[in-house]
Amino acid sequence: MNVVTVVTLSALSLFAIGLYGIWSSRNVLRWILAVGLMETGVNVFLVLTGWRPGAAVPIITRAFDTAQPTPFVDPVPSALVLTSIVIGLGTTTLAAALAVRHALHHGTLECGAEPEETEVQE
Amino acid sequence: MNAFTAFIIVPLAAAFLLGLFGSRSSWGSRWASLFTLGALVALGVWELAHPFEPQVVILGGWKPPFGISLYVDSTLLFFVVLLQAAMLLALWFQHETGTKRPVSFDVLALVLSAAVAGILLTQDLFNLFVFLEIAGAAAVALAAPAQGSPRGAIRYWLFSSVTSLAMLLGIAMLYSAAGTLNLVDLGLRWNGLAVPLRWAAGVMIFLGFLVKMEVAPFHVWAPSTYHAASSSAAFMLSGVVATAGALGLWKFFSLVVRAGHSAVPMAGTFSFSQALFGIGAFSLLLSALAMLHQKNVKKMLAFSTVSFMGLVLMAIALGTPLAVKASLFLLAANILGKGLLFWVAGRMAADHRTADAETWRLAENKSPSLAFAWFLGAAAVIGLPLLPGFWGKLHFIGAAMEMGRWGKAGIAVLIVATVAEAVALLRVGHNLWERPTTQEGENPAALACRFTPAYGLGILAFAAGILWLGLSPGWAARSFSGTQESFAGEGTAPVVLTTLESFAQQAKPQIVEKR
Repeated sequence: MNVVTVVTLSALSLFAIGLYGIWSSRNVLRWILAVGLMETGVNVFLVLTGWRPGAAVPIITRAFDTAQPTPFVDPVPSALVLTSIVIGLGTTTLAAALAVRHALHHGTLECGAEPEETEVQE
Repeated sequence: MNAFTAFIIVPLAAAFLLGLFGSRSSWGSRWASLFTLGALVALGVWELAHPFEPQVVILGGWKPPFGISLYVDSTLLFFVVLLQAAMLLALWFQHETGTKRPVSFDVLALVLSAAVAGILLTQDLFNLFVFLEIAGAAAVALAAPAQGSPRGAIRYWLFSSVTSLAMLLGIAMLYSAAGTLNLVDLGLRWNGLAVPLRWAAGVMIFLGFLVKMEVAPFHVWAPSTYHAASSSAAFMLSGVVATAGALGLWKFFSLVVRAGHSAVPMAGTFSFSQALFGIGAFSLLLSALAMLHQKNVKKMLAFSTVSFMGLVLMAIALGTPLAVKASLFLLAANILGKGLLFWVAGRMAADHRTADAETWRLAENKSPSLAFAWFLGAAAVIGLPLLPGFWGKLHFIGAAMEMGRWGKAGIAVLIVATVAEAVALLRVGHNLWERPTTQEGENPAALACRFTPAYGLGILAFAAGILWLGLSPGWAARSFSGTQESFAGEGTAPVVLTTLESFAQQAKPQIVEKR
């Protein structure tokens, strides 16, 4: 089993574990953690898409030999992962704020299957 | 800076500034957000008034397919302007109700405006995902009620997050196989990818769009979220986010999956077209029937959106030039018609403290103007002749007739769903119009509706839009025809050719070598 297969299986396992976590629980905090696991799995997979065996870090230095360039790792997935992490931070923070509001309003983090009727907003 | 990038940059910059300084004056924050959106609408109308060729706008000096680019034509710009105008009116209504809202509501509305403009204009798949995520996060925050249970918003966040991650996984799979994120470039390589990979990546990417579109069975969060949210936030979900999701799906479907080529989609082996058509028909019928059993008007409008988006999905799946035109008319009808319906529902809910249509029936001192506005909005959505929904449904029937058994089944579903939707919406309209007839001992709700000039201005704006698009559909039809030729014409689509020209501007030999 080579590196690519191991990392791919790890990434997909993280995604699947997160999905199971959401399916098996009604707790908002666990949902946030499960989504975080899924996100990590997707990010690992994204990094993997840029990896090349034996390739160097994609940074051109003074020592770089333009006559005989060495293969680089694809830098685009790294940039995508950075963006994905920032988006994940934002949505996780939003979810945490909603979880706090839920706990204050209902006194619990358990989110029922059917939301109760609330007073109508204008 | 290209003028078209202003639709993304300006609202984001305004949101940033309001976030920093808006709390000093809620009055200033209110008018700054309205002025920003108003200025963008004016800029868009000015651009639309001067005909321009479809163009690729290159961002940051990195030319496509390596850098991010925008594609702008008159139809996409029309929808950007329409959505910004819808956001402007939604904010206007939010302020007009007089309810105190935190500055964050203005900030989030501006962020949502920027995100939907980005979804419509970008040509990069990852960039599309980023804008969808920003729109989703802003929509979740807007949907959370100021007071009350946030359960609806939490459910929306959960559905949105999980499907967005699935979408990102699909994008990663596509990138690993094709080595590009440009939609046109991906489309050129799509047929060269392994079939299982195309299905896996395609399904995951479509999931992300379908939740934003609020299509059944990915809509289960919608009714409770609409009920808990303020009416202006619910309209933003229904008219703005769902439309942006639909246009994003349409771009991915026509540029990548259909590779910018027009073809007969309903023949041959099982395809994405058939899958999307089936999901759309299911959504259209199921939600229209659900409307009949719904007394809560805000939930009814949620089901109406789910049903309408099902029809839009069916038109997108058909993929022919006439079907593209149908989907664009339907989306415009949904924005304008739902706008009017939510304005009325919001006012009634604010005055009567309930969204129950039966309580509205018993209300005294009803406003005929409100009832008229409801009937006009309902007629635009149902598709009464010479209103926007009519043109959309007429074009859809024309396109479906060319598609054999699938198309005819779709028309049958459309007829049944339209009748069900008409019964549900007109029943509410009747409650708004009719004088209460009470049993002995039963008191009608002694509440009058506040109908202020500012409120009437919003009603007039939506009504004018509906009547303009319905009675003189010529400009929109010409514009939509240009886009249908660009995205679904015969042979290689002009959008592909325009983008390829922008590739060649950079370094043609390298591009040729890469292919």
